[in-house]
Order: sequence, then C-alpha cells, then structure tokens
Amino acid sequence: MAQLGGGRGATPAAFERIVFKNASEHHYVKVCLEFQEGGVRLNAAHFKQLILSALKELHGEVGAALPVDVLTYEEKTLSAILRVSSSGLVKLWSALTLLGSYQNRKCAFRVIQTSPFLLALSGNSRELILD
Amino acid sequence: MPSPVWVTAPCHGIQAPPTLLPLFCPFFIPFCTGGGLSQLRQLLLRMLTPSLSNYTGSQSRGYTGNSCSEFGRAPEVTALPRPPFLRLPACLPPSFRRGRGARGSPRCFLVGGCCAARGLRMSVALRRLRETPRHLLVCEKSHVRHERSRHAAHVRSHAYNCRVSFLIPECGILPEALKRVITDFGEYYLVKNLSLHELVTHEFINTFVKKGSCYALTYNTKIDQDNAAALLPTGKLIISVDKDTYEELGLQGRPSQYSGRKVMRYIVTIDLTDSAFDPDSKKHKRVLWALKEKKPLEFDFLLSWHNTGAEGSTLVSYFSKNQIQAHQPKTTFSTLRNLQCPVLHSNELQGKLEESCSAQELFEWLGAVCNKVGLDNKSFSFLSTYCCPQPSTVVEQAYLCTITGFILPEKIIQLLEQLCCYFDEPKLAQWVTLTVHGFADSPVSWRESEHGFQKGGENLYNFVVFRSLDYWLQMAVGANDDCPP
Amino acid sequence: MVRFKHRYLLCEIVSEDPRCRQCIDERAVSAAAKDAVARTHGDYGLACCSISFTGLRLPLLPDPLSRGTARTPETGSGVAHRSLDVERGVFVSVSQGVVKYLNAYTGIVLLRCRKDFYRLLWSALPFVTYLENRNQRYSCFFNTLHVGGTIRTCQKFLIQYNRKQLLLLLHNCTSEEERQSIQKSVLSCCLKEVEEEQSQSGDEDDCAETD
Repeated sequence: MAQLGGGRGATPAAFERIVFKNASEHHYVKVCLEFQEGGVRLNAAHFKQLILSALKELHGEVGAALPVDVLTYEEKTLSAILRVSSSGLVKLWSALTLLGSYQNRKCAFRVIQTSPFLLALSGNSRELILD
Repeated sequence: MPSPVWVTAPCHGIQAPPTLLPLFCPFFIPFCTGGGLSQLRQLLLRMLTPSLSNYTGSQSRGYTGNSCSEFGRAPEVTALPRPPFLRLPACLPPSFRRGRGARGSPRCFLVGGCCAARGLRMSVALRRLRETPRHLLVCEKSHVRHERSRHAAHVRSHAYNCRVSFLIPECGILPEALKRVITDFGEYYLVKNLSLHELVTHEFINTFVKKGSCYALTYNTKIDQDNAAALLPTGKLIISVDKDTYEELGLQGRPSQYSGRKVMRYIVTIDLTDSAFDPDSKKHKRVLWALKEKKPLEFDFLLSWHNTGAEGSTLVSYFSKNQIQAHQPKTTFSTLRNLQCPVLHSNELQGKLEESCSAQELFEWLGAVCNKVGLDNKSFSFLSTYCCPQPSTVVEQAYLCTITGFILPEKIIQLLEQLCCYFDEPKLAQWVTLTVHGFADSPVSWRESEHGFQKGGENLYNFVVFRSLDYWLQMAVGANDDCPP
Repeated sequence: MVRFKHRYLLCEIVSEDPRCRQCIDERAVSAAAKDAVARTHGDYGLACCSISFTGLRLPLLPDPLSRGTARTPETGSGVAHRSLDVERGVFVSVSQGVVKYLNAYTGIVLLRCRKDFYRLLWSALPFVTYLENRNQRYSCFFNTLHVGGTIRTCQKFLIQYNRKQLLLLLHNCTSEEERQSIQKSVLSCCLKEVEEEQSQSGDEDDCAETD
C-alpha cells in the first residue's frame, strides 16, 4: 500500500460498501407553473399556498398536511424545486396535475423532472442544448 | 334420539356470567332432554336469579371490572342433546338459523381480533398511492492509492457523462494545475443526420474504434420513446429500438429488461472489434445490409474520440460530408460565501451521531448546494424546512465549478487525479467532492448494463476525496437500472 | 365469479343531546359521513368511497340487527320497544347508499364501504362532529364499534355488544324495582319469541303451556 498523500497519521480507510435500496426519505420535483395569459406574478409564499390548496382540493386535510418544502423558487420563471416525503410523491404529483386555476386564471403545473436524489436535479441531460 | 348440540361457551369480550349467556342465544342453550316450556321458564328463572342478584347486588361479589378473565377462557365444548321443542327465531338469516351447533363446529365470535388482523394489510389501491419507484444508492469507501481500489475502473466504465462538477471548500483561487485540466477538457462533436451504418463500416472501425476509445451517443433521443444507439469505447455498438423497428431491422437482439410482460423494446448489441466481424464475413454484410437498406436509421450523434497517438482532428475530416460541429464543454465557476458544510469523517460512512454526517446526508446536502437551495431554514418556516445536516461548520468560501458537455471518462480520471494532488500542499479543506452526471437517455449506465428512464433516468456518481486520500464513492441509479458495479 | 368485497363499519352515534336521536336518519348520517370523507381525504377520497357506496342486494329482513337491542329500561317492555323499532325507528337499506342499517333508538349505524377504501371512511369518521337534519344541528360523534367483512359478523358483534350494555345497565341499577323490570323485560323478550314460535308449530312439542 502506498504512503498517504496527506501525511496524516491515520490508517487508510478499509474498503466498505453499503447498498441503500429505496432509502431516500424524500423525493424532489422540479416544477414550473404556466399561466394561459402571462403577466401573473406570484411570490414564494403564494406559490406554496397554491400547492397546498391543490393538495387540499384533491386529497383533503390529510393531503394538505403532507410535508412539502419549496426548496428553491424563481419568481421570474415561476419554477421551483419541491421536496416531499417519498410516500407523498404520488399525492403531490396528482394534485399538481389536477390544479386548473389560480384566482380564476387558468394555469397548469408542468413537472419537469423528479428524482429521489436532489443532486440529480442539478444535471439534467435533457436540458443539454447544442446548436 | 335427539341430535347433540355443540355449545360455545363464553369467549372474547363477553362479560356475562355463563348462566346468563343462554338468554341471548336461545338457540344454543344446553338444555336437558324433554321438558316443556314451563320447565324451560323455571330453568331460566333458576339460572337467572342467582346470577342477577350476584350481578346487581353486592359489589364485592359482582362480575365487575376484570371479571371477564374468568369467563374469557377458551371455549369449552360439551356435547349435549338439543331440545326438540326449541325453534330458532324467524328473524335470523337462514344460515344463522341452521346454527353452527347442529353441524358440530364450535364457533367463536371474534370481536376485536378481526379489526387488528385486517389493519396490518393496506389495500392495493391505497398502497399504490404511497409507493415510489425503486432507486439505489451505493456507498463505497476506500483509499485512492490502494492497489485494489476500483475508483478508476468505476469512472472508466461509466461512459457517457453530461456534467461534471467539483466543490472545493476553503478555496478562493483554483490552482494552476486544476485550471489546466479544465481548459484542456477536449472538444466533442455533434454530427447531424448520420446514418447508423456509417459507424459499422470498416473504414470507421479501423480508423477510430480500433485506434483509441471512440464514444458515440445519439443526441436528443429519448430512451423511453425513441430509438437510440451508443458506441462504447470497447467497440460495442448498442442499439435500443422499439418493437416495430426491431421487427423491420432483422438483426438479432434481446428484449429489454425493463419492458414488462409485453415487450416493446429490444436491445441489439454488435461487437465491432470481434474477429467474426471482418469485412467479408456474413455477419458484417448482414448488419450493413440491415442498417443501410432494410431499415436505414438516422440519428444526431454526439461523438468524441480519445486516442493516445498524435492524430488530431480526423473526426472532423472523416465526417466532413455530414454537418459536423465542434463543441467545447461549457464551464461555469462560482464562489459560494459562508457556506455551511457538514462535518465528515472518512472512516464513518454511516456517520456518527453528534460527530459526523453520513454519506446519504452529504449526498442530499451536495444536491442542495448544486441547486442553490437555502440551507438556513428554521423548523417553523413556511416555505421550506430543509437545513444543513448536523454537525456542520461554516466555511468562508467554497469553489464550485461545473463543466457541461459530452465528457469522456479519461478526462474525469485526470480531474480526479488533480483533485487528489490538491492535497499535496497543506490546505484548509478537509475534503473535496467531484460529481458526475450521466446521460438520462443513454442505453447503458455502467459497463454494458441496460439503462432505462422510467421517472428520472438518473445515473450519477460522486466522489468525496479526503485530505488523507481516503475517498467515498456514491453511485445512484433510478428504477430502470442495474445495481452499479 | 368474483364479488366485490366490502367492509362494514358498525358505529354508535353518541350525543349528549337527547334531541339528537330525532335527527338520526339515513340522509343525515350519509351526508355527515360523506362530508367528513370529502373534508379529510378530498375529492379523491370521496370518489373512492362513492364507488363503494353503490350496489348491493340484500334480502329484506324484518330487522336483522335488532336482536338484543332491548336496552332502554325505562320503556318497560322490550317487546313493545322492538315493535316500535320495526315501525319507524329502524332503517334497513336494500338499495344503494353508505348507510346499510340504522337504529335511531340505540344510535347504531352500519356503514358500508368497498374493502379497498374502507380506511378512508374509517379515518374520516372521527371528524364527524354534528348531524344536521331539517336545519337543526346537534353535536355528536361516531364511535366505531366494529369493522366486519360481512353484515353477519357485525350482527354477531352487535348482539354481544348489546349484551354487555344490558349487563352494564343491570349493574347500574339503583333500586330493586328497576332491576326487576329489567329482568322481566329480558325474560319476556326472549321467551315471547320462543312462545310465539311454539304456538305456530304446536304439533312437535309435548309440553304444557306457560302460565
């Protein structure tokens, strides 16, 4: 075995391998809100409120009690990254799909990407655009 | 001869004295043979009077509180003749009237038990609502200089990478050596409308595939709906096609692992460097005919060629007839100020409470950093409750560099080596990370294991290199993927 | 042949207000249950429960669950009470609906739900806080006694449950007359039944008639 590069006294780590199967507590969803006519501004709190109301409409109080976090929100593009506990992914997704309007203006959520790993959302190969 | 009656004595939850029980189940009464209704009445009264007086009279002897334990024992089954005069009430349903008694199988009234037993199972429909597709995260730890360390092999076997990013805490300016590696990441090419048969011609195989590592991947094809193809540096051409194309193509393949009961996708693998694939062989002619005449397939290809020799831009000259564009990987830098970093111990892959964070927590945190997620939320904040895993330290600045393009594993190995060299000089940082994202739409992930999209198509890995050159490697795949090597 | 499996929830409506009894009817109970499901589980829950609220063939029985429901000591004769039940206090549904059986006197309700989704209904029931009938609102709550796979298991349970209730009543008696009256009502209730049948099919027995 080679000498340690860092010159530290500790012994080098022995090989260890752990496989985590379905261990992710949360799922992450990248969404984008679209309005039929533009010019609608929405701040982060209203955005989350909209998601909660969608959940409440489809899945009731139980659905509205799901822990949903808005990790990032961009007001300009109305896009956000949501975090939801894994057992609530289907509920959240279905609620977002069936949301039709915000303050009587027609809108739709587009789910761009979803993953059990937050890191995966930072590198979407489908967004690689060359011209 | 009167037929015998099986009597079920008091069972669960009945708080009645056994003598009172027959009152409520007249069809189960263990009476003596013969006797008239008057006898019955007297018998009932006789049975009832003492028990009722017991019950309602003095508290000391009463059947109160936990008295049910006295009667809650296992049913005693006694054979007794059934009184011929006793009829079952008409209001009971026929099956009830027939009575378990006459048939001879004693039956208990299970009261609370059935609810509990059913509570264990959730119905399929409700369970589906909570299920998510399978995903795997493999964590390994070892030492970079360990002779049996497989980190380079892991990197090499992951052929198609679309984004590489590395994070160095406590770093303001990148060292020159690292900068050189980044600027020398090599260009890649986009060839539009390239017929697939061009890749199996002998000219191509001899100039590129056999002389170095040639990487090709179809661009803008979705693995779950379109046809796709990929050329691995080992010389294997993998074509993933839908059922219709496969049937037209006339090449031998195998059904996709992830297509379920009704196969809708097939994988054709052709080894271009195989000795049986020389120019005059039947196999070569067949493949050429299938891809050229039978079912011409055309794709936009991402191409890259890594060779140790000196020949440079031959890909451009080779494909000059087609539209070929050279692209440089896009590089972005950012310096993150006052970043909360988790504390890691290289020996504690699973973390230790109050001392260090686990590999999983780090993986999530890294995702948060790369996505520019706020790390300082409170547990009561409305928008988000995500915060940095504990214990953590605040670093003044951290250097995050992201390279996007069609990146070869060889370059990633170079970068990893340079990151290890970063610790040659004493540095403040305890560790650095290197994250590599694979293409979600490539037909393979690691080695030649099949890759599908399902919900995310994620295949990525992340190195954490510690100051002592121990490393952690985390490999994550989504639902349609084999376990990483 | 595959049948749709159901779950039957045997519930007791508990209210402090005695007037609440009047407003227990099928419409009020099913409206309250549906409202609670819609509130706690939203449109999805309501839709899941709605498909299970429909379609069942049940032979019309005189009153399948009222055996052993004689539990009001103050009304004197249990027989009279029971016949009253049959007249108007007891609802047995043969058609469609969430409420399969209802006894306004004892406050016992039998709700039916498709097996896949009974958890939705079950978990929503605690959120029922009132019953509304003819613009009158009485606060009450549902106490789920039993969850069974068939009406029969619920019936068996109800018989046992009522037996326990009766003993509780006996236990809580304060005077000798009350106790006597309960004993009497119990006896007359049971024996009347036997007696009636006795007289109907008289040739089989060889015994003397009662006093």
